[in-house]
Order: sequence, then C-alpha cells, then structure tokens
Amino acid sequence: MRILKTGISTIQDQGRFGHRNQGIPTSGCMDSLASRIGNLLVGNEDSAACLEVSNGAFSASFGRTSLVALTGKGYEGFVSGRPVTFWQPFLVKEGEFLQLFPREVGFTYLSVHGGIRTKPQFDSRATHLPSKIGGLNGKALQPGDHLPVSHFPEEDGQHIINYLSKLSGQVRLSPAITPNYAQQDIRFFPGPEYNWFTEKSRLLLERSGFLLGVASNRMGFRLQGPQLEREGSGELLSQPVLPGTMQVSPDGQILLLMADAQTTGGYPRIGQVAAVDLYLAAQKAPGSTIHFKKISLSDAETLLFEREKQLLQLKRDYYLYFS
Amino acid sequence: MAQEDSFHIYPIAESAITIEYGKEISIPAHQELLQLQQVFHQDQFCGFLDTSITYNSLTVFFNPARLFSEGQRSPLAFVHEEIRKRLTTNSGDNKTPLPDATRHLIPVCYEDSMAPDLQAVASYHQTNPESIIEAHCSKDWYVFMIGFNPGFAYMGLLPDSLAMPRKATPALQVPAGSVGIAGQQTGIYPNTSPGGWQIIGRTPLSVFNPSDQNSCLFKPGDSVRFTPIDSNTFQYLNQHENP
Repeated sequence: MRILKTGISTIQDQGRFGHRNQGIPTSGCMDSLASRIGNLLVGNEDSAACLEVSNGAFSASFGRTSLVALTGKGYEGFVSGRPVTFWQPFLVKEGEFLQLFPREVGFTYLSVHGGIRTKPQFDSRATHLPSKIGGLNGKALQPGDHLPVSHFPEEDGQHIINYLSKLSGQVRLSPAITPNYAQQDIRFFPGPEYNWFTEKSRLLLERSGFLLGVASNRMGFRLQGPQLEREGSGELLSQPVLPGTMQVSPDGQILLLMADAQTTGGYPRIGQVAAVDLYLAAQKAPGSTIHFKKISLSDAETLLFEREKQLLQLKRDYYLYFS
Repeated sequence: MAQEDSFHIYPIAESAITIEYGKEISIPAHQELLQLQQVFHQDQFCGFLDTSITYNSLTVFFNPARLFSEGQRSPLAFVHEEIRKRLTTNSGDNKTPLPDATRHLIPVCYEDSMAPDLQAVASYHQTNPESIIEAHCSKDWYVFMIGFNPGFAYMGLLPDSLAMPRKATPALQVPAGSVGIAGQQTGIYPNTSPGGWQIIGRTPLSVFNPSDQNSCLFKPGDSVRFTPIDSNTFQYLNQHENP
C-alpha cells in the first residue's frame, strides 16, 4: 500500500505493554472499539496493526487486491470514485485508489487483511510520536510511504474475499453493534483520590458539562468546566496513570488522559473513564461538551464483560456466515 | 519485615490494581516493592501484561478480555487473589532476591550555558554554584522510578540543602540531557521537552535510545553518581542528536 496524501495518520494497534518500567506509554488506537471491529471485518486478530486517519484528507493506492474495512468516525470513503460504506468489508482491486475525505473531527480506521506489517518496536507496532517509537520510523505517515502488507490471505480472510468477489456480495453489520458516537454521557468510576475533592466538586463533576478544549491530542484532553476544589492541600507522590484517567490539575481543571498518556503522574486522580466508554471520549471533537456519569467499578467491569461477550459473539457469527 | 497487611491493595481501573506500601519515600520500602515486582514477572498469572513501580507503589496491569475468555466473570477479583497469594508466598525467608542493580557514573557539564537555573538554586540555598555542584556529585542517588517520559528516571533523595521546588512556570523547551532538581528528586530529561525542573547541568550521554530494545539506561533500583566535566569534554562525549 502506498500513501499518496495524508493528514495526521499513524500506524496503531491495541497498544504496547511490558515496558512501563522504562516509562513507555501504551499508545495504540484512540478508538479501540472501532479498530477491533475493523480487524474483525477483514479477518484479522485483534492485535493486527491498522491506520488511524485524522486531521485532513487521505488517499492510498493498492499494489494488489486487498480486503479492507473502514470503521470509526469523521470521514467518507471512496474507492476509485465510488463511495464505500463504513463498518463493512470491501475489496480494493489492484491499482485502485482509496480516498478519505473529512466530514467532521474524528478518527477513522483503515484495516487491511493481514494487518500492516511494519517492524514491531517494544513488542508493538503502535506509533508514539513524542518519543519516535513504533510505526514507520517512529513518524506519522508521509506521502510516498510504502506500507508492508501481507501477500497471502489467511483462511478466514480468503472466505470473505471469495464472498465479496461474487457479484453484489455485501455484508452489513447490525446497527446494534456499531458504536453510537452521539451518546453524550461518559461513564466513570471514582479514582483513588476521589475523596480528596469537596462534596460540592464531586457533585459538579456529575452535574456540569465539560467543554473539550482545543489543546487536545492523543496524549490527553484538556476539559474546561467549573473549578474542582480539594478538601486539603496534600501533595501526591507520582502514581500510575493510564488512558482514561481523569487527573485534576492545580487550577482545578480535568485532564483526561488518552492513548499516549504518560505512565505516571502527580495530579490527583478524581476518576477513571469506564473502559467501555473510552472510545466515545476519544471521538469527541474539540468544542463539544462531555457529561460524566458516575457508576461503580464493579458495574464498569460488568459492562466490559457484556461488551467483550458481544464482540466474541459477533466474531463467531461473522466467520460462520462465510464458511 | 513487611507484613501482608501493611500493603494497601486497590484497583485503579478494570485492568490495573495498585499495591501501595507506605506513604513516605524510603529505599528499603521501595526494595520490598522491587522484590515483589520480580515475583509477578517470574510467576505470571493468566492475562498478566505488565507492572509499573513508583516511589511507594507497584501496579499490576492485566488484560480483562483474556480473563473473560477463560471464564472469569470478575478479572479484578481474580487478580486481587493472585496478588494476595504472591504477597503471602513472598515473605519471611522465601523472599525473591532483589533484581541486579547497576551503578552508573554520569558525566555532567555544570557550566552556565547548560545550567540555566544553577544560580537560582544556589541563591535559594544562600550559597554559591560550586557548593551545589559539589553536593550534587557527593553521593550516589537511588533510582526510584521511570516515568513522565520514556527513560525519565526519578532519583533521590536529595538532602534539604539541595532540594528546591519546581518552577512556577515550566520552561517550554528543556534540551535533551538536562539534569534537573524538583523537590527532593533529581533527574535527566531524555528528550528535548517542556519541563518544570530546575536545570543545573547537562549530560552528554543519551539516557534513552528508542531504536534499541535495551533502550533505557536506568532501571528502578539502580544507583547514579554524577561527575562534573567541562564543555570541551561534553562536546567530545556528546551523544545527542541536536547539541
């Protein structure tokens, strides 16, 4: 696959683990739900790397016929001028172009059967731009980049390719499984320092809207809302933070850490976004308002169980459909 | 000797549980956590992903999806139990030995052009820059944790005569290799980045090299001794891309 045009696009996977003691962040897809569904649609394992496309138009040419899916938000896709539908697999034939035009702010995932086969670094292909780790030489994609993809389809992929090669072969996912990005509420559970904050601030956290600031990136979102005040003034020794951690900076504002979050932080952690809703937060555009809804950690775990069960079921049904 | 009960165990996410040990910074307590960390890496439970150590805590990261697929309804309950088991077995005479530690000798140029805040640190302590340099090079500092940025080691503990709060307004660009002070900690910026530490010198050594799997010069438990060099020696030893 050859990149012809791109905004800020990076190679990502489900993240980098095992190197926190060197201060190396998880990284990986901002909207991990969309990218996992993308991988599923093209017959990949969860761990396969894909392209995360954002901030501007994108186009690529394909050297050979490829099984592709687009998932996520923000773009419209075209293959050699014909519109293609998100959340379903399609073939891009040898020599054809895939174009993505931005329609709103968001991350779109381009998954290819076999995954993007760049050399893993620290056990992952995910790009971490600030430290130049992973991806293609640690950088965002550039026009002219040539991305290694697999030449030989696996069995599941071949079944899907055979099906799509037939006249009018099309598959659609049930809308019940595709994410609803319009959902405004982001569920969270209390963080270790939740009780450091005044009762009033804890109420404000649930009752106010928080505006997503423009100075937001893959590392974290700066939220603007009422000032959250602390009961005392103790200093926190640096503690672990991870994607979804809601830190409160000294000016009383929330920093919501995202995929490229640093590994440790010294600001009190008022909350942690439920893992099932992190993808939703990731797709919020600067200028939009977030409403936080408190749930218990045990509920968050149950929701995650339900989500994983749903994905497993989808995977089973999907592959059964083609075999 | 650490008792199981002196560890405070609490989840921080669906995929992570922290084991906190004490509220203060102490090297012996930190070494207990280092031993415990070894245990988790040597005797891995299903779904284990990683650990991360700080001054007074060890956090265990795991993959809930993996545990769900193994029939666990509550990965948190499962991992909590795995932690308790390891705390029980790793006690008394059955303690895992401490991981090997390395002693590093790190050259630092403390000349004005590389030490924008050295004078401020000296003034803060009502002394001269020479005494600050001497104190900074006078003993080994213990590496407690790596965090903030890849390869950024938090070392200490600095005596009150060296400690200084971080800057009110962080500098927009701190050059790679800069050696700073923040509270009772000292550390080295691996890459050029914004930063709020008081910069008192710069090392020509690259402390984090992403192209190498053993990229990080320091690991928790190591010790570091700084030694002063002049700017000519700095240029000669310089490993940074943009001097």
